Amino acid sequence: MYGTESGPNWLGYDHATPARLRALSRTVIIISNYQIPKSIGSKGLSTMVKFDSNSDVHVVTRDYLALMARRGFSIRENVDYVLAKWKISPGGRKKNLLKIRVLHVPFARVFMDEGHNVRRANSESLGWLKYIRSPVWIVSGSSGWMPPKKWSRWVKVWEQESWATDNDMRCYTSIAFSRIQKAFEEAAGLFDPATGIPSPTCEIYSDGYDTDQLNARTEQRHLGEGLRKWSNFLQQVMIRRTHCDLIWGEPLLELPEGEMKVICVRFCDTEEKVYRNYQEAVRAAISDACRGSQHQVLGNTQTRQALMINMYRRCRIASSIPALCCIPSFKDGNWTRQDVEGCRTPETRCNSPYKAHINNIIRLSPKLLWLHDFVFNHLRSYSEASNEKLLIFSFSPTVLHCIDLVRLLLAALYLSCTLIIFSRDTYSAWICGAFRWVQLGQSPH
Amino acid sequence: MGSAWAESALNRPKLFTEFQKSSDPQVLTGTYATMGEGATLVRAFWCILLDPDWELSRENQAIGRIHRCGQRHATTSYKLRCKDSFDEQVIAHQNAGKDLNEHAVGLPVGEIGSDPEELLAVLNQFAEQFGLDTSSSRAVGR
Repeated sequence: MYGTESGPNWLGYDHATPARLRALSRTVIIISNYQIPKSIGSKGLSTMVKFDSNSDVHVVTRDYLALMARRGFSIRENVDYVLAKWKISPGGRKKNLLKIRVLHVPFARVFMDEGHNVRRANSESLGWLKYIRSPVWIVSGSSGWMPPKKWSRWVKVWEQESWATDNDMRCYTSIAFSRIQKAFEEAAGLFDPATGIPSPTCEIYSDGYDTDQLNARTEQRHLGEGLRKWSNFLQQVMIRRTHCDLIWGEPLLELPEGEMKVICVRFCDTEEKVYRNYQEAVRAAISDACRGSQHQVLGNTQTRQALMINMYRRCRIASSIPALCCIPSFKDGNWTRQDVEGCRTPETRCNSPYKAHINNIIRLSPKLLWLHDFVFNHLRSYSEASNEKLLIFSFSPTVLHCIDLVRLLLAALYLSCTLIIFSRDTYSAWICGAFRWVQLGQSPH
Repeated sequence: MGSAWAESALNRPKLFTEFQKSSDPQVLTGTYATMGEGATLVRAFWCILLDPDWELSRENQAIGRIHRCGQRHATTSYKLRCKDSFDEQVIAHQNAGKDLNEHAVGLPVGEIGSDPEELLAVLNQFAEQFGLDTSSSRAVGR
């Protein structure tokens, strides 16, 4: 594992010690809400755990938990890591049985990775985790995750970043970060709000019999102890994974510069009119749903909530592609996520309800126009920029589906053009015309 | 162009590997849920977030796909916002939680220096996070 040949690892025992003799055997379960992340998945663990003939360490995944569900199955004592998906099987008694068996395993620690997925105090995952007897650590690599105060007793967060190579990252899992956080917490736990923290450089002039001075000296010693422990731990953990980087004062590892730009686009008059009309219709529908005037029609509360969520989703999608508001199947809500996701293959995409509206979709979307310009200017030629790649994210498959449709239409045209910059005025003429032409002009935004 | 959102969970890792190793696909699209977590896509230099998510953390996770270990080039992420649209309400929701987040999450290790006072400041911040009153401690420390 993490240990070096000369000393114990960060878990506190030598790698050579057989698992059955370790106090920490079968100690760690890593639970992920959705799927096991690659960083700590099988590949990550293969770098963490040294697999050899003499090793007692086993990595067991879903099969292990399936075995646990069987009657009379006992936990193997030589298992150190158990990787598990929390939502293993869909619903029902079997699922509960499985969870209950997991809950009774006396793990020394339980780690839940991708903790930012837990957002509600009454979420199902969190509810089950509270029943686990072992200390639970929730780890998130996301700095934007805010744990509520009531969880802070046992929720530990540390930002995962700044690793130079894939290997470094894999070796340096979220478990290590949790450990850092724990040491940090221990140091911080020495703070006494009543007496305060004396500065480590503060001189105390006393003959040793003054009570206040003795107290201050004790506090100083505790603080120094905590800081030293924390410092030692950081050095122990970090220096092992770097060659020449320093910890204090200097960044440990540096990533290339990452820049983030916020691009604000605006609707033009036509787009705004389409969007506003739709927005008003949605507002009216939401008001109706809130007042319960459609109670008889819509059925129970759950149905109304689903309807409102659907309307909110469509509003968000419309802010990206307002042209969809003109399409009856979108406007009337006669579409579901499954409909869109069903259009997965090029063959089935032909049946997309949006395909006939592609021209409008790109002409009426400032975001798609901006995206088009960006893609065309940066990824102009495969041969020139084969190493330059792009990721496009959206919250909705519908938006991405529209991008796919537009891409299919434009792909052939890209090949014959050297440089085209679209604007709202030129696009429709260009796309509808039978001719291809090149225009050098202003970017629309 | 690859569509991670259209692939099943089983085929998605294969698509990511293909994106990392070969020149095609050059553009990969995906939702925050399908591509925002657990994937290393450092072959990309650009990342475009077409619309904001309710949770800022999801956006950060998405950007983290390209700005992570293994990345050798400077990266640029673009967040697209449409004025006078529903996007603004989503941004307002994000900002409401941002202040709390900055208070709760500790500093990255690299920002902690060797200066004892700086270290104390960091520890103070951490103590405040756990609800301890450190105002008197600062006075004593000085």
